[in-house]
Amino acid sequence: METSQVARVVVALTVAVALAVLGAHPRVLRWERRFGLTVLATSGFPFLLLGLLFRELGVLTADLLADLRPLFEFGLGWIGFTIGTNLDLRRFDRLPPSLAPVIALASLLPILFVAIACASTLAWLGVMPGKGLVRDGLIFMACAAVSAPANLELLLRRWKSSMQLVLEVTRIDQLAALALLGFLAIMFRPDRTVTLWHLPRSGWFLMTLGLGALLGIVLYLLVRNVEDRTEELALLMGGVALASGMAGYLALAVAVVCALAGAVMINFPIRRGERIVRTLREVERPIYFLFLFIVGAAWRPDEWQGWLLAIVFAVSRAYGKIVAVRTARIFDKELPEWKPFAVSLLPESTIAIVVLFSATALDGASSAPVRWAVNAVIVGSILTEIAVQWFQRRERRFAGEESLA
Amino acid sequence: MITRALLTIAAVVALTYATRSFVPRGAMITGSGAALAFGFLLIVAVQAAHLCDALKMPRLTGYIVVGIVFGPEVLGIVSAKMLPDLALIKGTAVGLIAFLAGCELNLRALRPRLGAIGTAAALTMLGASLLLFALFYALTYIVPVTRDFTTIERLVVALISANVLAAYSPAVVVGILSETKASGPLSEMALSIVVLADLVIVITYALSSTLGHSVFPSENATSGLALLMPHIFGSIVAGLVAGGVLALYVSRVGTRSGIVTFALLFIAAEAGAALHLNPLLVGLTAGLLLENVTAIGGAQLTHAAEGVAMPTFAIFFAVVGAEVQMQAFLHTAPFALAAAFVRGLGIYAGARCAGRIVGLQSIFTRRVTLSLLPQAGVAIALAALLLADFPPWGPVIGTIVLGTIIVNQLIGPVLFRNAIIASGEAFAGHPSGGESDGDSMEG
Repeated sequence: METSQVARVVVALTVAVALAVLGAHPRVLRWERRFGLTVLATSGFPFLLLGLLFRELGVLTADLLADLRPLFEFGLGWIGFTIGTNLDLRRFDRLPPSLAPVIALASLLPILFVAIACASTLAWLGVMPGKGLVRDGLIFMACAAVSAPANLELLLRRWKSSMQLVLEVTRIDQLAALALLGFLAIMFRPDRTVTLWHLPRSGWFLMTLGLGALLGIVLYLLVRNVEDRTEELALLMGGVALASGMAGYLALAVAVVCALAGAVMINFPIRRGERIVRTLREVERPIYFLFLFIVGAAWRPDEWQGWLLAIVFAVSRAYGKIVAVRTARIFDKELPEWKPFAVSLLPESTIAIVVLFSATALDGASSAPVRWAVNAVIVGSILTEIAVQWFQRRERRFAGEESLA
Repeated sequence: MITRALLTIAAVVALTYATRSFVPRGAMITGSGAALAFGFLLIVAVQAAHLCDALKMPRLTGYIVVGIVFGPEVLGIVSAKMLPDLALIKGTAVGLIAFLAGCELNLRALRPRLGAIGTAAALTMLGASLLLFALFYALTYIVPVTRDFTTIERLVVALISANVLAAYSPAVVVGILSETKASGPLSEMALSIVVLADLVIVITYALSSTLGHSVFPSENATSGLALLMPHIFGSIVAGLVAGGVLALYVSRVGTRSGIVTFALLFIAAEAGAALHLNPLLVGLTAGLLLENVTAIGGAQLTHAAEGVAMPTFAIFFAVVGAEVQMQAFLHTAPFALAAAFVRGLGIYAGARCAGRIVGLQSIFTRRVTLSLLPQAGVAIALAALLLADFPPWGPVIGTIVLGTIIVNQLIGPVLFRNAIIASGEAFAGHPSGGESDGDSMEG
């Protein structure tokens, strides 16, 4: 590498790390919470722009990205593992059974709507079955599934009991996204001819489940009796690295295997579960930012197809959420009004970035439709955020008028 | 605890071995291989640390043994192709180790003892260098590749070899001090001597290798005076910048200082590999700046970096162990053992002289000697340069030098840990304290 190139890389990494750390600063978190903004639209957005800028400047080269690949794989594993630890079945058992259809509708209908709308648009753009339509459709579906709760205090102030429901829906839809991601990785395995294992797709499915469960048990056995926090951190890091390394080695979805491992571990009677989850979350945000930085490098805002798909994605996803919420109200009359309820579920979660990042590692992922998908999800998320902000401001105004009255 | 640790190691070995069977022997999957090796080494190293605790051995030795046993030369769970991908972590680890050493060295507090430290560092290095020089000069008559050399050529071979083997190990000293939570005169003196001596070694190696290239001209020379200036001064400037950024960050933001420190040293290692910066110098300068110039003080950052320090040490020493060339060592074992013995003798003689001059207790002098026996990062890096830069004799003599380093890295930590525990400085802040036969520095 030439010295000038090294200097640019150093500057890029320094800026990215500095921004990642500042983005994770409590003051930024407070600011986001106060205005009901999501990471993707606020502190995360500069990273997308930075990734885009550094690609143009020739800083983020293929060589550098290859050098950092172990780090990305570890990051994917860490995020997957953190998501997995959200799936504490004891908490789900405490939810009233009547909420099951609500959660299922809110998670599945947006996926269905986005699948139909985006697949039709992709077909219109010339992406045919057998030429990546299924793969790209699945990427959109996985990104459509996940949502980050908006400012619930503002939107659901009259339905405080529903706040937990919204939080649970956003947790379950992460599951749906990861399931789709796992399916993607099984269906579109990279072409590695020099391997000694030759399994059918169903075999890889069982392998994903088995490996995740087994690693969860191993991690549980590793950390269950550890008193020292430093050792706990070392074992967590080692466990996540081992899980992500094994999943990546076998070309399985790293985030999915690690999420399964996290879910299995947290559902065992673990003494310091909360401390472990806290440790995992401390590092989660800076990792997201670094992924946004890399996804920014794959962003091609100059392709009109991406903008068209962005609108289709944002509208169909929003429509899916609205229909889901309105249908859910048929099952449960005590649910909040459909407008604030739907808006509270609209913002795009940062998990979409994990999906996008994982998708770029799939077989044939450098193709144009994947680039359009990256653009569509980024722009679609920002469009959604604008709509949510507009609605929140209106609510805030009404709230002000109410309090004045 | 021992059974649990052994069962865990067995389970992780079985899982990793099964995964490795996905691709044929020798094939490698970029990225995943490194993550797999990292996770495997970290988990097994932590279990090995438990075994070492039970056996009253230093954890560092456990980490190194893990690397040797599961590395490419013995069981091959961590393959030779995985190791280069872990080099970045190794570079970061060297930087972090040096940073922690810098944070421990308060020059104002050390000022009254600087004379003693300087004398001890100079005389121990001189003692070891002289005896090693004589040994390697004699070896040039035995080793076939150097048998026909002229006297000047023999002298240069002996000089370069002695120079490499005179290096100490700040990494092992920091690692053992951190593991035993030691503080006191011996810890302070050992740390100061190894840091000071390694700075001198980096400079003297550049000089001796320049001399070597003038006697053995080579097209592929990668070291010498031409690189000395950017290497040393560039590293110091980079360290000052890193230290300044950290000071600013801690005073303005303050959260996640450990991760930020690690990230900065990671960047320094990434850049350093291409810009010929020495991560040891970068980390040390940053640490010294924080401890001695800024109002923040090193202790705050040392505490914040505790969480990342333990896994970093484990991975660093496991990788050092995995890089050990056992086959080559076995071929040169008698020479290597002789060189290790001579080096120890030279250090001891130098320490005794220094003790007499500055008035140190003899028991203290003996313990200082034991702190200087371990070798790791810097010595291995210089031996690698020796292997690469001076064909055809470099690979042969370099293998003996590496063999000597292996002996020192296996025996040194055990002896140093025992010395620290015997001095009563181990777990000094711990309620139970440490056992001691009580000694002070002055005689």
